[in-house]
Amino acid sequence: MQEISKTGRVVVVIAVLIILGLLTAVAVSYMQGAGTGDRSNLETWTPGGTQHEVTINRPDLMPMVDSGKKDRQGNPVMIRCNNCHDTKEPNTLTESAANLKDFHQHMSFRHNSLKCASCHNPEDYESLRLADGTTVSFSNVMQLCAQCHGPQFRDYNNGSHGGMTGYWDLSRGPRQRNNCVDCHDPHAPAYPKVMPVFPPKTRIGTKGGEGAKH
Amino acid sequence: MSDNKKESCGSGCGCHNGAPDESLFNRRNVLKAAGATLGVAAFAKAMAPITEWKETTSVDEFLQTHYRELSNDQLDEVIARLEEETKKDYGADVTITDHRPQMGVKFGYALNLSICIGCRRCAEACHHENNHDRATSNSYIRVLEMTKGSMDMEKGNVHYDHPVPHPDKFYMPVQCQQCDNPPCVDVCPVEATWKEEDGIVVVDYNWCIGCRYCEAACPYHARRFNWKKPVVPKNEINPNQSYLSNRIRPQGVMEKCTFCLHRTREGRMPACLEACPTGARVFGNLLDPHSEIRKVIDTKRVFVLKEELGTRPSFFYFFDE
Repeated sequence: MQEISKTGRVVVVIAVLIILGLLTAVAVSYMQGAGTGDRSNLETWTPGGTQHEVTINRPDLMPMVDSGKKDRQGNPVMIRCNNCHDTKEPNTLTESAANLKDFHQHMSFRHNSLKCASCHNPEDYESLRLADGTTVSFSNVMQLCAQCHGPQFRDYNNGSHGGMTGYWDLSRGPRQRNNCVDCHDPHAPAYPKVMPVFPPKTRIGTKGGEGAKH
Repeated sequence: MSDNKKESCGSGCGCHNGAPDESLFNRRNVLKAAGATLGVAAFAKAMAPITEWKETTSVDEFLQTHYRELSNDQLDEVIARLEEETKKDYGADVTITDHRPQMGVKFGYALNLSICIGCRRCAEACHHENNHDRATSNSYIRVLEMTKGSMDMEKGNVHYDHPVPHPDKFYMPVQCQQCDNPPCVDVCPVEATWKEEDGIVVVDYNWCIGCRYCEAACPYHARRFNWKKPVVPKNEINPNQSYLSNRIRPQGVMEKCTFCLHRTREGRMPACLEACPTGARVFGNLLDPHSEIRKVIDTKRVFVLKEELGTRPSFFYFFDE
């Protein structure tokens, strides 16, 4: 009889401990649930809907040439291309500024073996000309570049060339994109070398400083 | 009775009933005293955070619970307190928001190593955007100068100082890879860092104990420690802040790149992407099949750093052909 009651007591104690443990677990999970519950109903991103615009920078309608003269205010006098080119016979073989007698002599060209007329329209120097003879305006210069630089144009259209600012989520805001000639000088298109900015500081007291390894 | 007193208690311990009356330094008392001393020492150790109380720690900050256990009201109070402290310590009016992830969004980042020129503008933009310590020029991005043909990021040089790009080198910016299997999260002993629904690994700066286990665990050297209270001039503080990202961190806690969640969770691009002059960086929603990041993954031969570690990064690198 004594033995049974002792065993019974042990069983009761274990049962009470298990119940207490379960209650604690439930209480803890409830408390955690109460904490995250407030902020667990997250919004869901939905594709489609109204899309904001992707604006591509456009260069000025047409370039102007510095005449070398100054007006009364001291500003350089800029002249339009056709001021001269209307009356001049175009030489479609020109490929270097050294061959020119006046204007453009300061220019240097490092764009493969292209000639001026490869891109400029010899019938109207205030526009550009595609390889198939189609006239395009200076503001549509990307169409001209894309003729030869297909992979870059493809990557640009896929968003992995040329950079952007604004919104990844066009349903929440617009995006602004560069034009080819924002970064590349069409006459010398290789991206120029630059000095890196923001040098990492060495950590005080160490010879090597905070490098890739530490 | 007096005979019984002298007898052993019968358990073979050698003690004698009534012995305490005879000597102060018997075994029982010595053990009791030793136990009590240990108990007091343990209690004192447990109370150490209070005895080592710094004036810079407010009572509210000390009692603050984990970010994920805060109710909305508690979080509002915490944010109001943090804004007030920033005003007091830095003199700047800032807005701290609790940006929440969106379901259906998983952020991915890709970097075109063929067109990165190593100008470090991304690292600079990160420095200003995320209110980094000016004294240490801290940034979440390290740009490694790599020898062409080598892919070992441990051999990269961050201290290059010459016109870039050097013809024999390529440049590899490295920041938090927002791993799907993040070792830094696994090792945190207090769960102060975790992965959110949109894939961003975040830190609760007020829960972090600064043990730096995560810094040691990260194979990409992407975590930073605040050795000192960050120094940021008042007029240079970015006032658009978020609790889990670019608010000014306290001393002695870990911090890391959050893909600028205070911007990207509002639909904007990260600061490093906008600063990139060549467009080497591509960012977007991996779950959107029409996004730029998906186009890169679908059409380029992308790779991840240290793939063999099984960290499964959300950050991809690629070369043009």
